[in-house]
Amino acid sequence: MSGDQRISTSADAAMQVRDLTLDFGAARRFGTSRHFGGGRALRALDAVSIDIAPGEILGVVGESGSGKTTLGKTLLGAYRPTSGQILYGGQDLAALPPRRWGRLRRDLQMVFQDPLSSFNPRFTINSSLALPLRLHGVCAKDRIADQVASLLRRVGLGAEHGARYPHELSGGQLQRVAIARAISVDPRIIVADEAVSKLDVSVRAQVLNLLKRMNRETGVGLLFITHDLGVARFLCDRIAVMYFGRIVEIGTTDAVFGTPRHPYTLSLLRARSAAVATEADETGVQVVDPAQACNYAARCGRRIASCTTSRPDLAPDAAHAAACFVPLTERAPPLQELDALGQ
Amino acid sequence: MGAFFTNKLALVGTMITAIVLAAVVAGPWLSPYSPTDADFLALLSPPNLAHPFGTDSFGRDVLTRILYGARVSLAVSAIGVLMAALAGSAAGLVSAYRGGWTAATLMRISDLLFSFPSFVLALFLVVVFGFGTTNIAVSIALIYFPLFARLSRNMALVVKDEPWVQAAQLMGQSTFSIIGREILPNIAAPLFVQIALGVAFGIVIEAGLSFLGLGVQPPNPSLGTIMADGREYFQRAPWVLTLSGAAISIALLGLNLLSDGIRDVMDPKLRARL
Amino acid sequence: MTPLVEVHNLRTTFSIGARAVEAVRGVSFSIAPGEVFGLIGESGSGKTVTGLSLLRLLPDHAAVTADALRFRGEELIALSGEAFRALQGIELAMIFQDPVGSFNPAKTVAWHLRQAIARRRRHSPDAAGNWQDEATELLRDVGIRAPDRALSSYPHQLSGGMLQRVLIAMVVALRPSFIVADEPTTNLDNLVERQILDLIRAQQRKLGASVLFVTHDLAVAGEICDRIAVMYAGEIVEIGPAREVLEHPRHPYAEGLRQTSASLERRDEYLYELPGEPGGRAPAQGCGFLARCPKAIAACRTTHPALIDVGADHVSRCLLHER
Repeated sequence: MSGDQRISTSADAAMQVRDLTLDFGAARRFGTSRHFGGGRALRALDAVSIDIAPGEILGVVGESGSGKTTLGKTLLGAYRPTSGQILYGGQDLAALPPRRWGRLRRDLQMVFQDPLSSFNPRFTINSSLALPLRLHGVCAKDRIADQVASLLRRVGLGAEHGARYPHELSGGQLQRVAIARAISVDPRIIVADEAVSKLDVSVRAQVLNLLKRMNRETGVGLLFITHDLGVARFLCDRIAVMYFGRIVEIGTTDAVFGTPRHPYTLSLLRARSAAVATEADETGVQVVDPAQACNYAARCGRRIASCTTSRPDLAPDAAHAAACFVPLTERAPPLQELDALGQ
Repeated sequence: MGAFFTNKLALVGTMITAIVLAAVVAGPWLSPYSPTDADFLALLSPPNLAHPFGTDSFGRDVLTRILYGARVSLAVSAIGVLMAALAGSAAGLVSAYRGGWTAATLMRISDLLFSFPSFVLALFLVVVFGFGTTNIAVSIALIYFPLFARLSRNMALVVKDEPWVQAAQLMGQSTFSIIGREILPNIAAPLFVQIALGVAFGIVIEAGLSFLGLGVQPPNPSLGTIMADGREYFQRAPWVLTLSGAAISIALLGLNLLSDGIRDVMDPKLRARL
Repeated sequence: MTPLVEVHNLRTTFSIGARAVEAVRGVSFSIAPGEVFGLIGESGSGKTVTGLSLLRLLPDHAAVTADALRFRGEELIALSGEAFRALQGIELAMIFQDPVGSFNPAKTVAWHLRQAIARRRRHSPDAAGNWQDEATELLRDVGIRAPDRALSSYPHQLSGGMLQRVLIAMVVALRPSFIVADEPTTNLDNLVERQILDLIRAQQRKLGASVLFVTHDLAVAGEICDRIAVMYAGEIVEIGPAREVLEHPRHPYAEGLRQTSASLERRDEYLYELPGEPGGRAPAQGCGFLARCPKAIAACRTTHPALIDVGADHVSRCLLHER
């Protein structure tokens, strides 16, 4: 198509996140509940730094409140970061006002957790798929219907699905449509936010396979956000573990699952087995300034003095690293053995 | 659509409204009588074959006058309410999605208008701006503007946080497109219900103003002026007041049931997933 | 040993206008005293409706029938509404998936516990002691470290995990003999899920209660259940000891789930997939799993398979077992 000034060389497809911080509700609120510490802002992302290589599947794992979903949405421009940089295609997305995003919107796409509510209930699937094609001029107007049909076929659906409304399709089918919508504009990175969590178990495999196939066939990068470690281990090339707004460990899947360095990672792995996760006593931990401390210190059984007085950092381009002053070094039992422990 | 026809009351409402509309649109042409010409030979005749609704104090055919009058009442009310719906919904939508100072100001003006009882406000507006159908339509529009603004704003506030709206934002859709395609169709149903109800009540307002002599001026018919006439000689010719009053009631009934029907059709569709 | 709960040919039908949907199509099983019985299935399998049918928690447009529905040998179907309500909450209890809905948002945790304790004491008066002490003891027992603070809290002030613990405390306060737990850990984080599962198992053993544990998660069921029944399209397709059903399933559906799970563990390039989607309408004749079955034969279209013995205390509903 003429006028396509999108960046297409693979080297520019990488994204670099540096010290990304996001505070919700920065203004002091009247009568805040105690959960937010009475008036303090909620720090959803706390100086997050990470690199996303072109075409890789990067898993972001953590529990609710870890900030993993917020990270995904912030990278796509849904939230304006309080500070930090998102470097992509020679620009800092964090500083780019929404109206200047333009073509970048094509490069970065999202698949949501609940497939049903990610589609306007008043329009057919065909209509919802045609919209991005028209909006971004992906193909000629008279070819749009063909393109939509082709997209549906690519994700394993047929023309009959296209004529239906979202509530007439199942969760698995809708999620396929969501993937079709994402790839329709030929993106560089797709953020999948708990894309299979709401799907039936027997359907998850279909969608996971589809995502993997898209990645292998088109080279599109995938930021896969999930709390399900088994799924992350199958799908992802690298894993980033998040805890309360911070990345606490980063490395290849084999490295993180085989030899976890951060104590929180180990406790997550252990939670999958019947072995009871050991927790340290929460009382008696004095933290003067949370910004200058490890945020896992209160629960950590390996805590030393430094953990409460300085914040361990993490080099974003490290092959395998943990934000920890006393990282684990011994090899953890593999997941299968952990499962066997419970039986 | 199937659901619409299983709801008996809605069906009744639709039929009544359809009959009323048909009568109002076609009736005046079919009637051999003029609504304004007097016939001094047939003053105050009770209902008979020649005059199914009787005649009034000028010998005019009451049925014909009611049909013409209903036409006026419906038209004035419908135009007023539609103006309110368009302007109010637009204001509410923009205020919900964009926020900001203009939105806040719009809502405050809307609240101010809303704080007056409708008929009092209508009286005030007509006294200030003058009599006549145009001004009544504008008054009705001003009365209903706050309702539509509040309603559309409240619903839009909920819808704008839905994931498909966020998906549209991330896809780079324009604000206009998001409001018009992603939000508006999903809040339309209650708005249509309000329009039907608004037209119903608007008829009452118009009739009321005309009854007081502040609306349609004689000899032109309006349901209100007919009722005013009929009230004067109610003892001698009760049919005029009764039948014109009944005409209003029937129209109101039809519109109310129709609005119930609209609500029932649109709601269960959203609850279709068990 | 007489089973605590016996279900024979349970059928539950929902009527919406002119349409009727049969959510549960002839389910039979029994639960021994002190046993944790798992009911596994996906959307449309009927697992949740089965649990709700047993406890009469379905709305009016649901029709529940069964050849027999016995609790401690007594026919439940025959019981009047009032008699059943006397059992509900005392002998028969339920833990819901979303704890939030089980609480009155305008009342404190203390109020809720007090209601539960008072209810039990009305039914079986025991040695006194005030309810606050018992409430505190219960909360401590479910792993809440600051019971006093929890007691004076309102439901919205507690996290999902905490609320589920409080809910379990409330159920334990009633000392029921039979608990239906419907996806109690689905909404919880991994670490919290682990703790809640351990907690349920510990309390169940302490009470000696039987549990009908409804879930879609095979792994979770494997940890906590003694026996497992797998449901598909409103029917039970396999029942057996938990270990057996998980490791050596015989029904093609359960076998398919296991294969997917295994290929996930092995990190195959692509996962084993069962084709199609769960939750469709069950066919009028033939096997309900036909549309997705990789092993279907011609006879599956017309013959409805019965449950067939495939091992010790292990049955499966598939025509292939006959060959």
